[in-house]
Amino acid sequence: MNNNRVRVLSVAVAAVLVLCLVSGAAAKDAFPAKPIRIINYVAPGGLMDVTTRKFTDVASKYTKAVFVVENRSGAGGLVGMEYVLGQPADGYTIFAPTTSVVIQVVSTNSSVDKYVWGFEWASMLMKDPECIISNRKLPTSDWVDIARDAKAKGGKQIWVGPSTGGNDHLMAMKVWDRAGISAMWIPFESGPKAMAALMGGQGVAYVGNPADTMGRPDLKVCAVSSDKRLKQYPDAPTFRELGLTGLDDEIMWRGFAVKKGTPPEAVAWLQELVEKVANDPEWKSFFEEQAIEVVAYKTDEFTRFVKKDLEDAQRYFKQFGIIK
Amino acid sequence: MESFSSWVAGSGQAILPLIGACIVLLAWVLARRGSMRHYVGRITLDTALAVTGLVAYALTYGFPSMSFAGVDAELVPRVWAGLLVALAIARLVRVFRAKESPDPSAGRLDKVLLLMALLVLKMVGITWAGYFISAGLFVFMCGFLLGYRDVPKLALVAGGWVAFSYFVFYRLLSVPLPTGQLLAAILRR
Amino acid sequence: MQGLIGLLKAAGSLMGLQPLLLIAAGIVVGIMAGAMPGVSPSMGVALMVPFTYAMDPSLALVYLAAIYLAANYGGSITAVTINTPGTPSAVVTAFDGYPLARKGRAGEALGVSLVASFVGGAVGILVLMLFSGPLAKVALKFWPAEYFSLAVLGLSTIASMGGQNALKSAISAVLGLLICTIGMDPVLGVSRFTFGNVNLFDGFEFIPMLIGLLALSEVFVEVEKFDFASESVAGAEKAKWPSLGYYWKLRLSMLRASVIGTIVGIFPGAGATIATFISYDVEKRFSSTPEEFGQGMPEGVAAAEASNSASVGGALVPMLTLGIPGSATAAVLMGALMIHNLQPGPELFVKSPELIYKLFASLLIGNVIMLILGLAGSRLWINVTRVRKQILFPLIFAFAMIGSYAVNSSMWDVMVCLGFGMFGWILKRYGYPLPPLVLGTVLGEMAEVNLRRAVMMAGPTAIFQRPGSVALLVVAALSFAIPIIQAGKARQRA
Repeated sequence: MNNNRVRVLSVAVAAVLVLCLVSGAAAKDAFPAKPIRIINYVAPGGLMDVTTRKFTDVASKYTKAVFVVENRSGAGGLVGMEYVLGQPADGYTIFAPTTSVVIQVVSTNSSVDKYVWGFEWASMLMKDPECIISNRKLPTSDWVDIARDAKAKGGKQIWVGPSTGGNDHLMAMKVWDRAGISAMWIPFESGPKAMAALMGGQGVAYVGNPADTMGRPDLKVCAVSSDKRLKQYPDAPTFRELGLTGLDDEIMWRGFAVKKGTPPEAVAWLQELVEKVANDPEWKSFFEEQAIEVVAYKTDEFTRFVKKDLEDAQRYFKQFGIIK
Repeated sequence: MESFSSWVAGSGQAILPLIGACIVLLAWVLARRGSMRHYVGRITLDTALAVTGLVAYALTYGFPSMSFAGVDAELVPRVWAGLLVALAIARLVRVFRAKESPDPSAGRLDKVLLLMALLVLKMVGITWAGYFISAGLFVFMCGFLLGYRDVPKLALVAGGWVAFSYFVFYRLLSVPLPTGQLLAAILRR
Repeated sequence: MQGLIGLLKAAGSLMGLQPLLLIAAGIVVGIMAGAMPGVSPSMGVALMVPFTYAMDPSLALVYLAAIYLAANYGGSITAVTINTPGTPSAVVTAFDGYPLARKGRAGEALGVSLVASFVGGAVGILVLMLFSGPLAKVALKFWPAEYFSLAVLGLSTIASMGGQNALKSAISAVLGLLICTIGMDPVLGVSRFTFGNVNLFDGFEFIPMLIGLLALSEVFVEVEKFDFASESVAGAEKAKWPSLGYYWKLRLSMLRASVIGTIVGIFPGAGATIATFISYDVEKRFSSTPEEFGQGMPEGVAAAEASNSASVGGALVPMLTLGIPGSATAAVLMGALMIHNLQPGPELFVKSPELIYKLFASLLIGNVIMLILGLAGSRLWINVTRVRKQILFPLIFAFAMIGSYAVNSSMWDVMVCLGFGMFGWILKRYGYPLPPLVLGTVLGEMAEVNLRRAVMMAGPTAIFQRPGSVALLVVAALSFAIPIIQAGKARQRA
C-alpha cells in the first residue's frame, strides 16, 4: 500500500519534470515565452517613462508579447543599470536608456567598462536634436545677442539647465567652445524648473530640445543642431547658419539596451519589433510633432553613437574641469 | 594637506569611521565604570553624535575639489558637521554638570532586540524565499513575539496580509515584489 | 462673467453618469494611492495614465486630476491610524493625528483631516480659477535667493518645536540637515559621503527614511514598554464623530493653512511638505496652548491637511499659466496631457478653454465627492485604531517594509527604513524630538542648493540683494527669536 503510493508519487513527479522540460524546450525556440520587463531609469512620468509606455502601447499592435514597465530610478540611471546587469542575460530584461545615462557614467567617474560596455546597445529609437532656447521677452533673444552679451559679461553670463555633468551641460560646453565664449552653468533639479528660471530672467539661455518650447510661448529656439532647419521650427536657425561649425548633429537619443551576452535571437526579435513600431503612423506622428526623428538603428550604428558620446564627454568634462 | 585629502578619499573612508566607532566604544566602557554610571546611555549617544560630526567634517576633505564662482561642495556639510560637534559637546557638558536627568530606565530591551533581529531575518528571507512567504511568517512570528497567543487568529491575519499585499501591491499597483527562487517558478509561468 | 458661464457649462457637461463615475473612480484610486505608503501621489497618477489612452482627452484629465486631489487627502488616513504617513506631505498630520487616535479620539482626527482637506482643496481651486495669471508672475519672481530664504523661514520653526529643550531639537535638526548632504551634490555633481555606494548617490530616499523615523521608532518605544496586557480593547466603544460646530471652531485654522498651502504650492521649487510645516508652526503660534501641539491638537491636523490639499490648486497655477509643473504630480499630469497631444501652458486657455473649465469644474465636483466618500470611508478606517497593538504592530512593520520597497522596488530602501527606525528609537529614548530631524531633511537640500545657486549668480551677498529674500529673512529671524525671548521672560518670572 505504502509502496504503491510512493510509486504513484514518483510517476507524478517524473511527469511534472518531463512537462517542465518539454515546455522549457518549447520556450527556447519561440521567444518570448514570458513577460518582458522594460526597466526605466526615471520615475513614472519622466521623459523615457512616457516613451517606453507609449512604445509598449504601440507595440501591442504587432506582438502578443506582454511588456511590464518598471521604474528603478536613482543616481542618474546607475541604479537602473546596476539592476539590469544583475539580471540574467536572457533578453527578458530590457534597459531603456537615453544619452544622459552614458554621460552620467563619465561625469560620476563610474566604470565605463561595467556600465557602458556591459550592455549591448541593441536598438536606437529616436534622435532629438539639441538646441539653445532663449526668452523672447529678454533683450538677448537671438544667438547674436547672447554671444555679444557673453563677451561683455566676460564669463559671468548665466545659462540654466538640468544637472551638472548631464548631456545638456555637455552641449553647452561644446557651444561655448565653438563660439569662443564662456558662461556659467547653473543647474536646476529638472528641465522645467530651469525653464522657469529662464522665464523669470535669471539666465539668458537654456539648453534642451525643441519640444521644450511647446506650450511656453515666451520661449523660443534660437539655435538648433541640425544640418538644415527643422520643418516644425522654420524660424529657428541652425548652428551652421550662425557661423558655428561642427555642431550639426548633436542629438539626444533614446533606445533600448540589453545585457551583454543576450542570445542573438532575443536581440533580433527586439530589433524587428522596434522596426515595426518605427513605421507605425501613430508612433511617428507623436514624435515628429516634437521635431524628433524616429529611427530604428541596430547594434552597430547605435554603438557608434554611444562611442561618440563617451569621447565627447571625456574630452569636454576634462577641459572644463568636471573630471580629472 | 594634499596627501591628507587623498588619504581621506581613499583608505581614510574606512579608517576614520572605524576610529570613530572605537572612541564611542571607549566612552561607553569608561562611563560604565566611573561615577557617571547612571548616564551611560546619554554619554555614549552624545559622544557618538559628536564623533559623527567630527568624522563627517574630516571626510569633507576627501571630496573632489571643484569650485567655481563661490561656494564649494564641502562648505555646507562642514557647517552642519561643525554645528553638530559644537551642540553635542554642549550636551555632554550639561550631562557632566549633572543638569540632566539620568538615563531612562530600560524596559523590555530583549523584546526590542528580538524584534529587530526578526526584521533583519525577514529581509534576508525575502531575497531567497520571496516576499510573500517571509512576510506571512514575519507577521505571524511578530505577533507571537508581542505576546499574542490566539494562534488561529494570528494565522488568519498573516494570511490576510499576504493576500492584501498580493492583490493591492503586486497586482493592482504592479509593485514587482521579489518572488524569490521558490515562487518564481510557479508565478512566472 | 464669461468665465462663470464657461464653468457652469463645463459643470453641466460633467453631470452625466459616466463623467461622475469617472471622477468618483479617480477619487477612490487617489485615496488608496495616497494611503499606501511608498505609492506617492505622482506614482498613483502615473500608474493610471495607461488606462486613459483610450479615453477622451478631457475625461482623462478629469480622471487624473481627481486622483491627484484625493491622493493628498489619502496620505492622512495611514498617518492618523498607524502613524505611517502615506505621502511625505502627511508627515505633519501624523504629529497630532496619531496621538489623537491613540487617545481614542480617532474620529476627531479623521474627521478634521477630511474636512480640512476639503476646505483646503476648495480654497486652492478657487485661487487657481481666480488669480492664476498674477500668481504666475509672482512665481517667476522667486529666484534662488528667495527659495533659500523660504527654506530658512521653514527652518526657523524649530525654535517653536523644541519646547523646553532647544538644544536637543537643534541637534536633531542639524542631524537632518547633515543627512541631507549625503549623495551627489546637486550643484556640481561631487559625491559626498557616498563611500562609493551607488545606492547612496541620491542620498536616502525620503519615504523609507520618514517611515522608519516616525512609525518604526514609535513601535519600538511601545514594544520596550511592553504593557499590552493592560490594553483595553476599545472595540466596544462607539466612535465619536465631531459635530458641525466642532469644525466651525477650526475654521480660521483651516483658512490660514489653506492660504499658506496655496501660496507655497505655486512655487515649483517648494512644495506641499514645506507648506504643512509652516502652517503647523503658524497655528502653534496662534494657539493659546502651544505646548499641547504634538500631543494631539485638532488644530495641528487641520493645519497640515488644509495646507497640503490647498497646494494642489497652487501647483496647477504654474502648470496652466507657464507650462511649468508646480509639483512632481503636476509633472506627471503634464506628461499625460502630452500623450493625448495636448500641450499644457498658456496656449491651452486660448486653444481649448472648454478643457480648462472642465478641469476646474471637475476639481470642484471631485472635492465634494471626496468629502462624501471620505465620510463613508472614515467609518471603515476608524476600525484600524481598534485593532489590538499586538496585531497592529506586526502590520505596521509589514506596511512600512512593503511601502519602502514600493518606492524604487529596492531592498536597499527597506534597509534604510529599518536603519532609521532603530536610529529614531535611540534618539527618542533619550528625549531627542524627531520632527526637527524630519524638517531638516525636508529643507536641507532646498536651502543648500539655492544658496549656492544664488551665490554663483550674484556673489556672496546674493541673498541680501533681493527685497523678497530680505523680507523673508526678517520674518524668519523674528519667528526664530520670539519664542526664545518669550521662553526667557517666562523663566525670569518663574
